[in-house]
Amino acid sequence: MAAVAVVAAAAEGAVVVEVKKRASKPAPIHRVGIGWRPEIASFILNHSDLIDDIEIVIENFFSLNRQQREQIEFLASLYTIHFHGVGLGIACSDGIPSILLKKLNSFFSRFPNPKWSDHFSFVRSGDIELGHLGAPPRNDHTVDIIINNLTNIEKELGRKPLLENVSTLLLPPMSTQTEAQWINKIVTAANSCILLDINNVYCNAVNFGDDPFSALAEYPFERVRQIHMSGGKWIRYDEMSRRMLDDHKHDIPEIGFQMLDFALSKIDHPISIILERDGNYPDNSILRDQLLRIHALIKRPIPKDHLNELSYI
Amino acid sequence: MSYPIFEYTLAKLLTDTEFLNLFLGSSERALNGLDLTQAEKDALVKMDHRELVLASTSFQKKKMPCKTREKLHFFPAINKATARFAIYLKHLVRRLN
Repeated sequence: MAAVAVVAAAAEGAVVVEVKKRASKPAPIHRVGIGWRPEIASFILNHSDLIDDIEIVIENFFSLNRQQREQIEFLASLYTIHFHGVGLGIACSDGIPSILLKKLNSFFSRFPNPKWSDHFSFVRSGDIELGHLGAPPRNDHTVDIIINNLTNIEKELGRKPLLENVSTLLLPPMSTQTEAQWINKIVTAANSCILLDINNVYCNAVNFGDDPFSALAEYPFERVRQIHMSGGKWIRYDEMSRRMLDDHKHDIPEIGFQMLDFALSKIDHPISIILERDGNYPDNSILRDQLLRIHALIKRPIPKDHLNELSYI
Repeated sequence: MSYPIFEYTLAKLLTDTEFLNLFLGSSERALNGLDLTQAEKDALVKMDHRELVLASTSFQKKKMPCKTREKLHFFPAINKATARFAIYLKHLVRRLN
């Protein structure tokens, strides 16, 4: 702990004052990343000075042939890889199928210390595969289901995923808690951590009449290890109103950056902030600007080559 | 709470257009015969129909997997024609077997 001596001298007859000040805790060094999409591969590879981490969707590479493995190893030589799943179904009442656990085990065995995330969602029920992330009812029953599934996963795989909050256009029936209250209960009981999707918090707040910042403030920031940033679009709900759809195909809205700034003020440990874009790809300069904006918010020095590109600060 | 049946009913509403239309027309008829508690039935009936239709439409759109496209395009350097031909051969072999 360094002591800072401050000596102030006034004019003639001055009193010299020496003050020893305790140095403040150094700010955490956050990482910036982007979801790997082949359509923006050249952007990603040409902007490795702005990108620390790459997120890969696991289900696309389950078969993992030799070529795919070499490609992931190539990316891993440049970036830290985060494996993001969409098919776990942690909230499924039937549990996680053993064949899926075997596939995940086999997949992760190929990578040392893999970083893994999935969602607070159900994706199957009986013989129905939803094909996407269903928001489960937020009540004590589903809390128990998720804790039970997490326990089984840890027993079989020796690891637990970060779990991400999902957006929903339908308020889950039989819910008795807010999303943050529900998530808090789960991660506290299971001693696990979360991937906080800022845009999903925003979408659910505006869609169901909550203030986005109040909704965000309820989250357990001490358990956040990763943040997702993305943008959505308004869709028609009826003649008079609309809903925000989190489609990952639009730029991060201004409020998204403000919410990120708020979240960062509550987080005092290093995290990874991942920009997600799944389609409607913009010009490279727009993607770059969004990454630079995140860099500015986490107060990382902007690489020299990009200093002339800062138009928004 | 017969939660697995409740979960199944919710999943069906999100993915089965026929069942959804039946439910929107007459929720009582759609839920008739399902082993749900009265509280579960009430919760399903109280759902906002417009939200349900929006969510179901969104699910139908997202359900189509992009795995084939992803395998083709993992790296831009992969020759698209070669990759497409390889997938065609794979399907042909499967059909012949």
